[in-house]
Amino acid sequence: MTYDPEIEKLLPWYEKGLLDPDERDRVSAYLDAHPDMRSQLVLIAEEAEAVERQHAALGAPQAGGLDRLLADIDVIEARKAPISGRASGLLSGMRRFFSSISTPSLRLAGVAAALIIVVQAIVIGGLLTSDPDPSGTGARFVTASGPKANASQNENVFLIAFSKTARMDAIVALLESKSARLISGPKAGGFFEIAIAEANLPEGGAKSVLADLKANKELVRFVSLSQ
Amino acid sequence: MSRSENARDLELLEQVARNDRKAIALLYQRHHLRLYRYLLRFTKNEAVAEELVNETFIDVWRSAGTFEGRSQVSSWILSIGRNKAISLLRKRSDAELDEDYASGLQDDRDTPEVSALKQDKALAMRLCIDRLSDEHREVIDLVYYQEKAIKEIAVILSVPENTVKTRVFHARKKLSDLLMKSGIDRGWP
Repeated sequence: MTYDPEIEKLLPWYEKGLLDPDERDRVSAYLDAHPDMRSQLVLIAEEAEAVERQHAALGAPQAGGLDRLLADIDVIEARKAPISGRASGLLSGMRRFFSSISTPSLRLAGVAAALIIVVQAIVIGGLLTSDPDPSGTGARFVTASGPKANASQNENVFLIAFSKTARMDAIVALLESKSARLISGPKAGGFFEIAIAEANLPEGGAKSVLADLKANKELVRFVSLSQ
Repeated sequence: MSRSENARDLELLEQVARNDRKAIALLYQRHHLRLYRYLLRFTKNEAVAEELVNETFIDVWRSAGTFEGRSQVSSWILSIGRNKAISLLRKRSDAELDEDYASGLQDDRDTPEVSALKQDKALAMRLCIDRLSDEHREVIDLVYYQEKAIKEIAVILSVPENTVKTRVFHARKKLSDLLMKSGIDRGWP
């Protein structure tokens, strides 16, 4: 038997046990006929060990990658989820708002957004918790610098935080009843900014709305009128 | 990767295609480290590699139902990540690409660093592997670290199987040349 460069090319896979049985047998027969070629296997083992050590030295990605992936998947699924009923307009707006938050530092906001949209009956308190980092990733739940829809000059802006036991559908109903729209949040501490057009204010104006919201202890944890 | 491991991956992928979040989490846990290291060798940037891992698994989530089984699931995942890395690198400015290209070229000089390692064969080997061209280093990684069969590497790189065999052969020869220039004679080729 003469030297066969084509079979020699298979030696790395032979050494790693990655050949089909037929090819493996062919290489074994070749090595039996050319025992000097077995020295190649030693070289290959050295190469493999060096490559494995190099990769081990590369370390691992930072913790939290899976949480981030699942949060992104929630946002993707939320985009696909059908939205119906009277709350669809507001929910749609909230969904667009939250899904626009995509920078790494705001990933947690994406988690919150996804949970709000996918499970409409979820208790929003879990989303607005003041715990800055439930995922343990080190990310801060701070979105003050995130995307913000500007309130127009003819709108009154309120800073609001919902109670931990408030349900999503109840919050939507409350905001709709006040003709309010979400313009920013969630901020640290679970605060949102909402705006109500001057034309939609009841008799008594913004102060009347503020009093109504403050009185709604079941849903509203905190509310103030922004200057 | 064994057939049984690939069979498990296939099961998980089928579940992912049915929007099973636990399945994508398991698939991620099984493959993210190897994918990360593969992409890190590609991009040479930890943050970029992590971002690409995330994007790769989002693609897996979205397109699990389209997997045709022409390769192992792990090879399919690597190829998605590889394509993303290539796209990203192409978007960089020409200057950055030139820099990357230059850093990827092998350097035949017998540097003092290498010379000092003549007595440490294993360390010299690792240093010389890093001095291979990106193309050669990648195939070496795919065989030795990712433990991919010829057919799988052909799918990942989108090249014929013969090209894979020849490329690995030449990569190994180049490695021996570099070691020889560093004073380490392996007796081959």
